[in-house]
Amino acid sequence: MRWNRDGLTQHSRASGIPAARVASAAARHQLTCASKVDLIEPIDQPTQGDIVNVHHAGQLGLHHPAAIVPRTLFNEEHEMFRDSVRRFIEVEITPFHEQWEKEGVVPRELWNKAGAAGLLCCNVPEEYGGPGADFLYNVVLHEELARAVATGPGFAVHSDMVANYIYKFGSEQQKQHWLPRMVSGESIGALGLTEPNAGSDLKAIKTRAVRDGDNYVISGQKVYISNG
Amino acid sequence: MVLACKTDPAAGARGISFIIVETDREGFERGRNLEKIGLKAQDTSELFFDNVRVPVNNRIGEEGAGFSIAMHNLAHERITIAASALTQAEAALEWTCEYTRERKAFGQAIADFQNTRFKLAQMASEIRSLRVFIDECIRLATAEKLDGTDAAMAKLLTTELLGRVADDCLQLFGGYGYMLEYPIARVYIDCRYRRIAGGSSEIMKEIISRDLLRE
Repeated sequence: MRWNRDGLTQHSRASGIPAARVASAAARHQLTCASKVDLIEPIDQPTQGDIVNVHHAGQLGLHHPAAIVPRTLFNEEHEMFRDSVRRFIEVEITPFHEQWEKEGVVPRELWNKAGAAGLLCCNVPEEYGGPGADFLYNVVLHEELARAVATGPGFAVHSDMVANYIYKFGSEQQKQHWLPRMVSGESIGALGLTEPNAGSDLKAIKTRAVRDGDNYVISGQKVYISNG
Repeated sequence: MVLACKTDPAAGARGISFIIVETDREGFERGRNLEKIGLKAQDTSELFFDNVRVPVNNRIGEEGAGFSIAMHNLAHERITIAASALTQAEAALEWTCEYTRERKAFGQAIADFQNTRFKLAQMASEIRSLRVFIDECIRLATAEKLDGTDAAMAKLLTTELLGRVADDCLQLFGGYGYMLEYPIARVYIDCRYRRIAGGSSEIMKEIISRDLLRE
C-alpha cells in the first residue's frame, strides 16, 4: 500500500509544517469561536503539533439524527485510505487553505506531496506508475475534500478527467509519457473545454487546430480553466 | 493540458478533437486569474492560443473523437460531483446540529426552537434518502454500469440539495454563519458553482427528460 500510515506520516514530517503558523491558526480559531472548538471532534491524533481540525467535523455517529444510512460500499482498505486522506488534508491543506485563497492558487509542491501520498490518479494501473485502485478510492478522496471544504486543489480535473482520457483513449506513447508524471504530481492535468461563447454547448467551440504536416497549429481562447 | 479543438468546423460534434498541449509551448498564454465569488484558491483563468504548434501525435484518440471521449466519462464525473456535494451537505448538517445545541438565545438552545428542529429534520430526511440513491450510483459506477440518466439525476439532486442545505444551515448559524472563519460560510460560497459546472442543472434536466420521453 502506498498510502499506509507510516509512509504518509514520514512524508508529512519531512514536509515540515511550520509549527508556529499552525499554532497561531489554532489560537485564532479558539479566539473567534471558542464555543465551538471543543465540539469539533479530532479524527485522529495529528502526527505533530497541536493542529486544530478547523474545517472538519467528525463522521456522523449512527445515533445522530442526520446519520447516513450505514454504508456498505467500502472495505477496510478503503477506510485505511480514508484515514490517510484525512491526515493529509489536516496536515497539508487545512492549515494553509486560507492563505491559498488570498493567493488565488495552491502551491506547486502540494501536487508533489499529494502524489507522494498516493492521492493522485488512483485508477491508473501499476504499469503506468499508478496504484491501480478502484473507483471507490476516487470517491473517498472527493468525500474527504468536500467534508474539509478543501476547494482549492483541482485534483478532480487532474485525476478523474485528464488522466482518465489519456488512459482510456490515449496512445501507448502518451500513456507511458504522461501517466507516471501525473501520478507523481510532476505534471498537472488541466482541461480546456469552455470558451467565452461555448459552455454547455461544447459543439459551439471556436478554437481551431489546423493540420500542417505532422503538426497541428492551434489558435483560440479558453475560459474558466483551473490548473492551467 | 488537454484542449478541445475544432479540427473540422463543418462536422459539428464530430469535428472536435482532444489535443494535449504542453503549457510551455510558444504561443500559449495564460491570462489573469478570474475574479470569482468563491473557489478562491483555484487559479481559474483565461487561456490564449496563438498559432501554437503541437505534433499530431499529441491528439488523444482519432480525429473528431473529442466529443465522444468527453461523453464517455461523463457519468463518472457527475457521480463524483454528486458524492462530493452530498458529503458536504452531511457535514454542514452535522456542524449545524452541534452549533444549535450549544448556542443559546432567549434562555434556550437554538435547537430547542421548533423552527430549528423542523429545518434540521427536513434536511436530514432529504440527505438520508439521497444517500441511498447516491451510494447505489457509486456502486454502479465502480462496476462501470452507471448510466448517464442516473448520473444526471444524482448530480441534479445533490447539488440542488447542497444549495438549500448550505443556505438553511448558514441561517441557523446567524451572524457567525456569515463569517468566513466558519466552514458553513465557505460551503455556502463555494458550493454555488456545483449547479453550473460539470453540466448545469438545466442540462441535467434535459438529459433526464430526453430519456423519459424517448419513443
